[in-house]
Amino acid sequence: MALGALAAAVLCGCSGASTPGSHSGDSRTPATAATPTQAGTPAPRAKKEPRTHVSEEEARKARPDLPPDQRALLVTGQPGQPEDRWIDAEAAEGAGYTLLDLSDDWTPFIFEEQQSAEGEPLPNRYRRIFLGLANDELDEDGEPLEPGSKNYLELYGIPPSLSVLRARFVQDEQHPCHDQESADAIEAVETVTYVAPADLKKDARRLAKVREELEKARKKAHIATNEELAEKQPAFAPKVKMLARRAAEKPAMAAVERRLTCEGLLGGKLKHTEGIYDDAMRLAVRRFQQKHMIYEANYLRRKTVDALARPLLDNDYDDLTRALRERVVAAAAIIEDGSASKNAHSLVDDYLKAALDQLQFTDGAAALAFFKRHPAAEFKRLRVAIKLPARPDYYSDNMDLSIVVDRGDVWYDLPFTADGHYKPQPRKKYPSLTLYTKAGGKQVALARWRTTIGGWRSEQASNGYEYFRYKGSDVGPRVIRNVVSGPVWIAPASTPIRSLTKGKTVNGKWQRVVNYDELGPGYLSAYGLIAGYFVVPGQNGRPDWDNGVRAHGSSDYLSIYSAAGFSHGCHRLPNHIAIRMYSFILQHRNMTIVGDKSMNFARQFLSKETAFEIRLPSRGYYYVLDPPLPVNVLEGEIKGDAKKPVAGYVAMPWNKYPPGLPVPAAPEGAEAKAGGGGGGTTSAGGDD
Amino acid sequence: MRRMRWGLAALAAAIVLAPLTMAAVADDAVAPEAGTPPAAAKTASKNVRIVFTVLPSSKKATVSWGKKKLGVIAPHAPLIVQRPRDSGPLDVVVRAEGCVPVQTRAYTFEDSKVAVKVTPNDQKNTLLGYREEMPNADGGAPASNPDGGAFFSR
Repeated sequence: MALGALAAAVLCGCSGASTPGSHSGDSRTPATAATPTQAGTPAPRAKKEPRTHVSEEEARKARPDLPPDQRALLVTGQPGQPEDRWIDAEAAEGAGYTLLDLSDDWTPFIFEEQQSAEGEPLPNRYRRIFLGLANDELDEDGEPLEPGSKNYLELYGIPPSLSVLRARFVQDEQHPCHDQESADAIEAVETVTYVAPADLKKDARRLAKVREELEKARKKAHIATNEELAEKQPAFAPKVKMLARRAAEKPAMAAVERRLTCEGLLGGKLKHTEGIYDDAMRLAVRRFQQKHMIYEANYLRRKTVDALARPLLDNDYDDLTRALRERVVAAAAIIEDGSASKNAHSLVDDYLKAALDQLQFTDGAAALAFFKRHPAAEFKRLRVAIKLPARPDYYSDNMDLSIVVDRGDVWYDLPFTADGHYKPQPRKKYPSLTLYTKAGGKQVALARWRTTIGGWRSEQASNGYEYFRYKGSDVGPRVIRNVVSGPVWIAPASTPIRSLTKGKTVNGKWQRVVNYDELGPGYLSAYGLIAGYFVVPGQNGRPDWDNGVRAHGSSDYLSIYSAAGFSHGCHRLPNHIAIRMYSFILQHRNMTIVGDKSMNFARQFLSKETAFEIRLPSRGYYYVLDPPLPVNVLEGEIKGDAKKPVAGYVAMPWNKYPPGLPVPAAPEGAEAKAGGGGGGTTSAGGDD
Repeated sequence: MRRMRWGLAALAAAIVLAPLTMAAVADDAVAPEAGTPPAAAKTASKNVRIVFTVLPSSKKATVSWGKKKLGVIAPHAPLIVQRPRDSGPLDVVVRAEGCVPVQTRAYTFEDSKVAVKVTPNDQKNTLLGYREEMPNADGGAPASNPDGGAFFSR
């Protein structure tokens, strides 16, 4: 069946259907001149040489003599008996193979090394940091990581390199950290109840009271066990169940502690007290979730507990599969991940399966065997040759793509009552972002993801105090002209100061510094690793109008998936999804690479007795879509009484303000909304 | 002569403090503006030069990087620091007598100038983020109360 599909794929490559090459979108029309809004000389994308047609037999010839940058690995042999063969990479491409890049210097398209039409390099400042983070060599500032430290940033859009994964497999084989007794203890629970350290005594008293109550009832009814009591007097059943669950959680917690300690995640500087979900435990759980890309709050909830019960190599295999998924998606330049509708087909899954099958990565043991056959040094430059299915007919180098953002259910009412109590604003329909292409005169949804819209946010007014302000998401047609990788968010003057500083060890001294995590470029920044800027196109020679709204990556994944999650007006996507989407758009639309867009921004603010100076040397790395990508933001369904958002500042009922201090007027206009200079056209900035 | 002394000092510092070196130079020290695209650095040296100045330039200021004092910005004389290219940013604190200390950052992508404006302590209310203090410990009533409970700005 698989062979049949492969044969079909090869044939389809000659019949007009698009076969993914190693560098999809490579034979593209060079982009025309940049828009008038762009500074500097734009550089059209370099055109690559067309590939020659090569026979299958010729392509599969062993070429162990070739240097690493000219060869590719072909895995052959019967299932379970893989045989590795080095072949000529160029010949493989000519025969319809896709070169899947497993090198340690792989990045997604948005951080790839680019050149101008004249062959001049257009370096991306963040590429080095992305690679350093993926290889556990640098921290988020680009400074060397302490030896032995791990980044675990897949959850934030930076998958580990193959060398990092190789080391993980090899180490975990030697230190399995897994025994059946512990696994059974963990599997016996679905979650572990979180009790804050401050509430431990209170919780113990509550449990003792319940035990006492059941004991009395049991004696009174002359019943031997609590289980029997629950059966005969169902009113007690919930309490019996709760006690049993809490009892099972103790050994589960102990097993989790053993596992996290063995994995090197628990212990170290922060002291942990056994059996207590303290800060050390919370951080260890968070690291575990980051390591295995588990989207859950930092507690022992279902997905986290399930992963903790599994053998390490099984988790490692899943980590490898996800890392390969991003590389397969990049190599094939596809996007259809099955999210477009309930019954949508996942091209991504199909392609990933084809890659896993051909590499014979059937499970953790098979992947471990592969890593043992290939030393770490080989991953400096390693490409594998695989055959992928044909892409759908609607694929081309210049697809008719567009985005629709549906705001879902929208509330404009104040989120609290007059006496300061929180007022819930439930939503049934959450906001979504859909990427479409036009095929055969119809709009075809390629992917649809949950996103965010704006809502009530804290802002710092000119008097230094915080107020609420409704930061809505604009409705109506827009376009994305600029796509920026490694974008910088220039915090508007109204950004609460408390979010603009952080503690950091600087050259051996703990001190407060400007929080560049938030500003970027970086995976934690307000704009994540990539952003597309929504603008209203300028007419009659006027510049575009930018109201500070973007669709961008975000590390704040809980805000995207939370019922109460809102942005400041932007549409957030998890970083890895945003990277996929914009890589796809850039590979399938005419575009121009402007490259690094320098600026020399500096702004000071006061926090306590120190002035902090924000210094941003670059806006990010610019790609210009030409023509721009159409976007339509649907209004959604307005809930509640207010049919329009409240303008201006609203005092927070739980905040204290000096007596008589008037509520200041909120700044209006794009500048105030977007803030200072970050890449728009008429406005300068951006806000999340 | 002055240049020679500073040059010798720089050499000594380079030996002692490598890879971090520092030297104060005269006002005419030349460095490209920050923000030059990194493409320009393709044939650049292994190190970058960071020129620290303070505004007003008549002020004397010290520049610290964590535990280490990088040097002094003398009146009308910048502090020049050399760092390995792409070795990560320097988060420094600039202190001038009678002024609010400033925490700022210098980058190592390329040669750059960091001109730090210092604000006298009695003018800190001119800085963004300054806020009027509460009159007393109990803080007073919410601002919304004086005008009869309106929460909204005008």
